[in-house]
Amino acid sequence: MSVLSYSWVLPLLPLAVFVFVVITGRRTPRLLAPVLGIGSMAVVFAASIAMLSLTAAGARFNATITWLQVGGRAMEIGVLVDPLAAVMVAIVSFVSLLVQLYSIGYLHGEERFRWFFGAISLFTASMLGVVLSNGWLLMYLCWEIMGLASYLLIGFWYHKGAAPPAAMKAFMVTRAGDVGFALGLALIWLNAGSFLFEDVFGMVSTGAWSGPSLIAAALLLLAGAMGKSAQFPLHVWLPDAMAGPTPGSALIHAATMVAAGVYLIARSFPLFEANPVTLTVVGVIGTITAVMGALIALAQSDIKKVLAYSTISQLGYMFMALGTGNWIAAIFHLMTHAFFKALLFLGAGSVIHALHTQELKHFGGLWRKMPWTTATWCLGALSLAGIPPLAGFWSKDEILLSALHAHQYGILAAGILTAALTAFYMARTTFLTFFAAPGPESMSSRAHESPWMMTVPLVVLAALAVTVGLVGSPLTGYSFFGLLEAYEMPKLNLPLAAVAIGVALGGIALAWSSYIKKLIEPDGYLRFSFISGTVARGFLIDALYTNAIVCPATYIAGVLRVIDGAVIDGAVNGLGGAGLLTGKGLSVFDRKGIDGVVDGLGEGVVDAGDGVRRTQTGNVQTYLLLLVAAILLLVVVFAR
Amino acid sequence: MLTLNHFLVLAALLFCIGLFGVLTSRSALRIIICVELLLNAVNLNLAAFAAYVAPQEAVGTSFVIFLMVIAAAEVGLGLALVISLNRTSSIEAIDTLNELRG
Amino acid sequence: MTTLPLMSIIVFAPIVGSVLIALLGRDPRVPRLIALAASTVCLAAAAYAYATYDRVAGGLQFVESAPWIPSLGVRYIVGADGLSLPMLLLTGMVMFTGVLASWNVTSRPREFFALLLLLVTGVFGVFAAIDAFALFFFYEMAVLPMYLLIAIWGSTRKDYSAMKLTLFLFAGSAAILIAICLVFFQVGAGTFDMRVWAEHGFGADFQRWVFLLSFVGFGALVPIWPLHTWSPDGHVAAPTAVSMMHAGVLLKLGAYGIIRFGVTLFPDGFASWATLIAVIGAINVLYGALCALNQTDLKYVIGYSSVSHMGYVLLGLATLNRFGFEGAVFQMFAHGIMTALFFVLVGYVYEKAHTRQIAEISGLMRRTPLVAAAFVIASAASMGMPSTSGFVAELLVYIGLWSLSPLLAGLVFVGVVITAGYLLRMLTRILLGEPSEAVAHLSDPAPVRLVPVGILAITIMVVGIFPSSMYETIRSATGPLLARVMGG
Repeated sequence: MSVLSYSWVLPLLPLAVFVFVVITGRRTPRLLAPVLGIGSMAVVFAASIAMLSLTAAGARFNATITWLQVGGRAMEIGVLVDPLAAVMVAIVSFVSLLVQLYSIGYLHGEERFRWFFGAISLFTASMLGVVLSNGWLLMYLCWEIMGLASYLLIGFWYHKGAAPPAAMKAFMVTRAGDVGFALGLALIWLNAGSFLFEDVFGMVSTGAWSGPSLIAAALLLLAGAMGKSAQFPLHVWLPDAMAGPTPGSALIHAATMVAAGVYLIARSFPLFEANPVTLTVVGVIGTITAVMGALIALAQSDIKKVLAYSTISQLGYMFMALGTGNWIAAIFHLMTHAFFKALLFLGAGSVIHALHTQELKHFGGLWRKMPWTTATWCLGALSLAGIPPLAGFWSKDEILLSALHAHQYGILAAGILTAALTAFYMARTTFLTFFAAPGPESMSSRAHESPWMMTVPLVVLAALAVTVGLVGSPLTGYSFFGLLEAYEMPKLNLPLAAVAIGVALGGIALAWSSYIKKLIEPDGYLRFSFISGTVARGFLIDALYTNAIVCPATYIAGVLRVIDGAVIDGAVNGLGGAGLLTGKGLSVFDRKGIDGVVDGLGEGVVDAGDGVRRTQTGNVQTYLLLLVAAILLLVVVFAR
Repeated sequence: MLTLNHFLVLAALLFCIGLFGVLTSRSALRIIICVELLLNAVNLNLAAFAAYVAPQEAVGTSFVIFLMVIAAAEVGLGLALVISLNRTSSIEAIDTLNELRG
Repeated sequence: MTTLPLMSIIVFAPIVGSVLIALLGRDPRVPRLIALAASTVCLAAAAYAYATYDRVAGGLQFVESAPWIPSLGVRYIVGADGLSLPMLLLTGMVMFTGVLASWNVTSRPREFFALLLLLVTGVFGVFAAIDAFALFFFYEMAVLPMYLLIAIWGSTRKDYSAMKLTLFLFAGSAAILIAICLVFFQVGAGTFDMRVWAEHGFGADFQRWVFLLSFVGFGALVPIWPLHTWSPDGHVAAPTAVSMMHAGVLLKLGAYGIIRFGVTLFPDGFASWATLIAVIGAINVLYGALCALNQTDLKYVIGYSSVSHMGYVLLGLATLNRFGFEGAVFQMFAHGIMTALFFVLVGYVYEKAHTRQIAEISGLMRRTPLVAAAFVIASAASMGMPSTSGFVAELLVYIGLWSLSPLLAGLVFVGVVITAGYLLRMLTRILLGEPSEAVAHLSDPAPVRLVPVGILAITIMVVGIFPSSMYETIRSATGPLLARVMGG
């Protein structure tokens, strides 16, 4: 048995931390929760390094146990360790480790300090479960726990007005996708009779399972992925999820929740690959999401909102990669994105921590006060913008390259457009926050650099944001792709790379001329009411949902409630009332009719008796007279 | 020629007189006398039938004798009742006696 | 096999307790102890029967038989199979936790516990009865105490609700009685033993109409739409333990009756009405969920969620395949536990905060973290989240539905999303936010009150994570049943 056979323990470590925090509550020393959380993450990260090296050497681990025996076929769950899982475990545990370290500083005064680490641990545990499972059933289990954890994490500041609805929205929207996942599970079971990846992939590759049900199953899984990965049209929860604490947002948006959807499709890729139509759907959704997210990010005035829409846009990028058939590129971008986006979120958190505001107009010129934050942020932003040799360049280039190779020119064009937009809005945000002269509403004078517990993770992440892309570059011989067993190694296409770099630099230059040099009016495009009204509000998709789904549902519910009360209950009550009325009528009939007859008889008898009584005078002579009269009568009648 | 019919008519007249007396008299004494008339009307009938229908057999006459004994007893009893009634309620008129009234 | 008369112990322990309470319960603390003892005996016996049931052999076990009314051919026959055992276990658990949840009943505790035990006897009797007459007898026995318990210890329009409930149930039982009589005379064997009845081949038309009769009769209790309105009102009006029995167990009596009496005796009649049942089930799911979306009273939300969830039972049955059948019975158990947990929690909040209005309750997570956690677990089960018992049931029903009709699966999809909607709406309002005035002084309950919460929550998780034992038990009953339906 290899050490990999113990990998099922990994998700249980943070889960144990969560249970511990829930049970002990405030009875433990304050710092115990983060120590346990970080400790468990350190163990998991160390294990993931071992997993990486072992799997790179060709080791695999796949073990199942039967969860439920359904009619001769076993519903099985189990653990799979392969390079993909190892990479994901490493990303998740590392980001979670840094986020927790950072949170000690960020949330130092928070009342529910321990609970935060509990929630983060639950979150991480569920994500580890997702990436380590060897079938959809266990994955779905962890998937849903993640939804619950996101609810807890986003709703952490429940006394803030925005947090509870945001938490609910996140759970609700992802839940809508998850029901698709669950129905997909049922469909997979019906057609393949197994939930394990290897069994189902085997059936798909041999053609034992094909046709419309396969397409339906893939699309239902896609629905689940779209919910978690915030793809159009299920992206609406993500910007609202910013109501949670910033480190939590960093975890959600960088390494865990949103990555789960991309991971699901990458993991289930044979199902998608089997039918070009499903891949096309993935690509189209990714393209729409990428462009839409970038456009909306242009018009945001809140630093976290910019990052949120940027995340949506970048996730769209990953879906584009999946749509072109290159799932490794998607995972590569997921990895680089995890590091630089975590860096950007934590950097934004550092600024927010210093100024207690998230509005860009309250910032400006912060680079003097917060040198570490500024430097690391800039590296992250450049990486996101796709400037070589930073990580984002390599992964983004890979996606454009695979679009080119797949002859998906629509995706290619959208990718380049998104790259330009991304460079622009990141540069805009960077300049407005750190370099532009403070505006009239700026609060930058109060700024201070954050404590070391917060800056150390920033520096570590910045180092990774710079270097991690190299594993997918020709400099290391595309070792990342080799690890994940790509069919063919990518090859750097210089003209394409030049275009990508060109548009990125162009975007930055435009922002520079506008926000620093003021050659162009800063934010001048916001004057267009379409942009400030429609685009800035997310193309009004939220409003659409409110008006087209939430309101009608509430309305129907109200109507049904009334119907239930008025019509059905009314019918029941009416029936009861009619019964009562009939009863009343009957009782009247009873009293007047039947009783009348009975009473009448009785009274008649009494009356008759009364009448007859009068004949009983008590006078013997009268009696005798009657007697004689009667005899005479009888004689007259019968004596004929 | 004296036929059965003559006796029967006489007896009927006697019976009617007696009945009239019983029904109309207010005096208890007179009622008792009228009852005697009724009984004797019946006796007359019995004797007449006995003489005309079956003269050889003594059935009718023996009935008459029985009846006369009973009548004597009845008069004795009736007179005793009338006297005791007179003593207890000192009434004579019989139509005031309506204690049987329902 | 054991020689203990397990079924009789289960059925008669509560009534013995009831009599003891009537005789001894002068001290206000004695009744609850006797009730707890009786329910412990029942729970232990039910758990023992569940554990020792031979799942491989299947069929009816623990059968006891004794003459009852010889002139009519009525016998007291009780036994258990894979269908009734989960229900007996469920009833035992709900009763046990219900007694603990009623620990603080101060108004006439003697009558309360005596009636509660009487009610439980009726419920146990129905689940254990094999003789149709005994089944009907126990069924009626359950209804009357329910009326009194709601009318005396209830709240919110209790007279109306109690009367409505009783009338619906009696109307249903009238239909059942007619059905039983029809079958009795049709079989003509002078017995009410349903095992004998099951051997008798009924004609197609007879099956068709008598099944419908029994479906409507027992369906009133499920409750099937549109005979459901007594149910939310009843839930709301009843005191905690009775709500638990009502939603957790009583609704299952209806579904159990449909399966035990209707489906078992008239498999062809059942199959001919499957489409109608599926439509009613889908209406139940959607209608109940939508109604729950807009309620202001916590208990109404849960009441309508029961209407919605019992729809899955009907849908599962209507699929006419093994997954659906297994899912339906699993759902009966899962829903019983989760609703009981909901009512324990709502009962606690109501007792302390004196309100059940969602608008007046917020911030429970801060004041009562354990209650909040239990709310989350119950809601997770209700939403069919994996690792809860609700997921197993819903997964099986989904699989069954897919092979029946993707359209219905799509409808259920909508229903599940709405379910998540109303539960999240409720959770978000009452758990998050600053503690409202009503809950400002609340704290987590004393250990004795936490025991029922813990038992139910742990059961939800354990059955959800290790469903095999429950599933095998259920399958030993649904397998032969489905064979009857499909083979007939």
